[in-house]
Parts: sequence; C-alpha cells; structure tokens
Amino acid sequence: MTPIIDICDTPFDPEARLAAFRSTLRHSGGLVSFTGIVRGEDGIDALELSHFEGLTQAQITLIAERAAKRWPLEGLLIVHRVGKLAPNEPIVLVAAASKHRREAFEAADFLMDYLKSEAPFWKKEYTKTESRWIEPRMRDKADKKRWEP
Amino acid sequence: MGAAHIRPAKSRSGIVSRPKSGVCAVICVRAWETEIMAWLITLNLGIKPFSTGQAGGGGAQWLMAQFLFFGRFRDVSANKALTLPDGVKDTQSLVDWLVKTLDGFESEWLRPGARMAVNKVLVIEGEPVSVSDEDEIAFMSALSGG
Repeated sequence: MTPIIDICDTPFDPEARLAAFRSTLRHSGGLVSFTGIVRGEDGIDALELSHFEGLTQAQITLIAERAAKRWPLEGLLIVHRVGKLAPNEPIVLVAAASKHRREAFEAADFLMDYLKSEAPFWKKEYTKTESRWIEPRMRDKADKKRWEP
Repeated sequence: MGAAHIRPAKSRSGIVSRPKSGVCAVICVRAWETEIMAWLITLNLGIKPFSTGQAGGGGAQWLMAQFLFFGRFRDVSANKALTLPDGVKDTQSLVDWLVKTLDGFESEWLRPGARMAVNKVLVIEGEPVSVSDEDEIAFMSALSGG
C-alpha cells in the first residue's frame, strides 16, 4: 500500500479528492475521511500555514507508514494545504480505507493526531489588526498519547 | 515556503565575507572540488547540482551554513544575515552563540516543543551534533499542523 500524500499551495476540493481516491479502492468495505477547515470565528481574516519544505513529505510518509503497519489498510490519502487560507477553506484531508470500518476509523484518527504533533507545519492567524502564532494545545498532546504503548 | 532563509551577507563587491580567513584557501579548494563534482554529476546523470553559498565575482563559490527559521523563530531571526563564527563546532555551542546574537532567541528556544534539525535530521536534546559551514541548520517552534 502506497499512501497518497499531497502538500499543495492552492485550494483543493476535498469531495473531488475523496471521490478520486475511492475510485482506486478494490477491496475496502470502509472509507473514513476527515476534513479540517479554517474557522471563521473571532474576526479571523486569514490563516497562514508554513512548512519545512523538504522535510514535510518525508515526515508525513513516516506517519503514514506507521499507520499502515498498525492497521490493515488498502489505501491512505493525506492532502495538506500550505500558504494563506481564507475562513472555510479546507486545510487538511485525511482518508483511510480498510476492509472493515474500525480499522479505517482508527487509522484516520491516528493520522490526524500525528499530523498535529509530528508534521512540520506552523499556523499563524491574521485579523484586521494583528497576527499571532497558534500554539499546540494540551489536548493535542493527550490525543497523540492515546496511541503510544 | 514561509521560512526565513538566512543567506550570508555580501560585500558591495559581491564577494561573500568570511570570518575564517586562515582556512580560506583550503575551503576555496574544497568548494571548487565540490563544484566540479556537482557538475560532473549533472553531466552524467542529468540531476541538478546541490547548492552552495553565493558566488563571488570570479564564479568561485564558498560553502556556507544555511540557517532556516520556522514558526515563532521566524519573528526572532528578522532576516538577519548569519555566518557560523569560529568556535561554533556543535549544536550546543551554536545555541549558546545564537542566544547572545539574536534578541528573543533564548525565550523561544526555552519554549516547549522548540527543536532543531541539522540537514533535516532532528537533534535530540542533550546529544549535541557537530555543525559546519556545509550544513543546513533549522530552528522550529512547536508544531501546529492539521
């Protein structure tokens, strides 16, 4: 199983990407996906996502490989935006396909937790008057810890 | 994208300034060898040569450490030109030097989740690795993707 990983600097259509991914599946009985979008609350005008080009792809590949070792998956799709995004634009799409639903649910959950904590992305929020870096939350660390032995 | 790339400062003549004048000749020879090897690889395999520091007037290139700053470190670096000074041989001495050189670096470095990578390999806390002018050195604040 070769994961599909795409780091893109232009808007993407999660539904179209998911449909294309689903068309490649042959043996799966479950396909679970998650789409992260830019929240439009608190006067946020834009969200900037920067990344460590050259390391990002390798790091996400490692995360995907860990998921593939842990669950019997037919396919994995990870699409992650970089650049400046407007409210309601999709940031990330993760999809996991497996013969049975439980594995697909868990793999997608695992991927999101590790993307949050192990992939070299940084978020900066912009309002009309200021900008601020988004810090990881304690909840993110606790979520990732669930998968550790 | 998004990273503050710090390149060595150039003089008005376009020649890159180097503090390590005592080893300049050796480095220059090494740089020429590197350049020739890179182009030989290009000719034979059709791949792009790896990048070195900017060229001086005669086309020779110096090897220079490349500094990358991500996340909150981007604000600290403020696009300052940095060159590894004499005496900085490993990641520990590098951090000590940056604490003295960059305003605000220390507080960012002490924040939870701050990390460093040399040539895209994460440095483990308490296990310094050597650094030289040939390295790419990245400083990252806590990650917040997804």
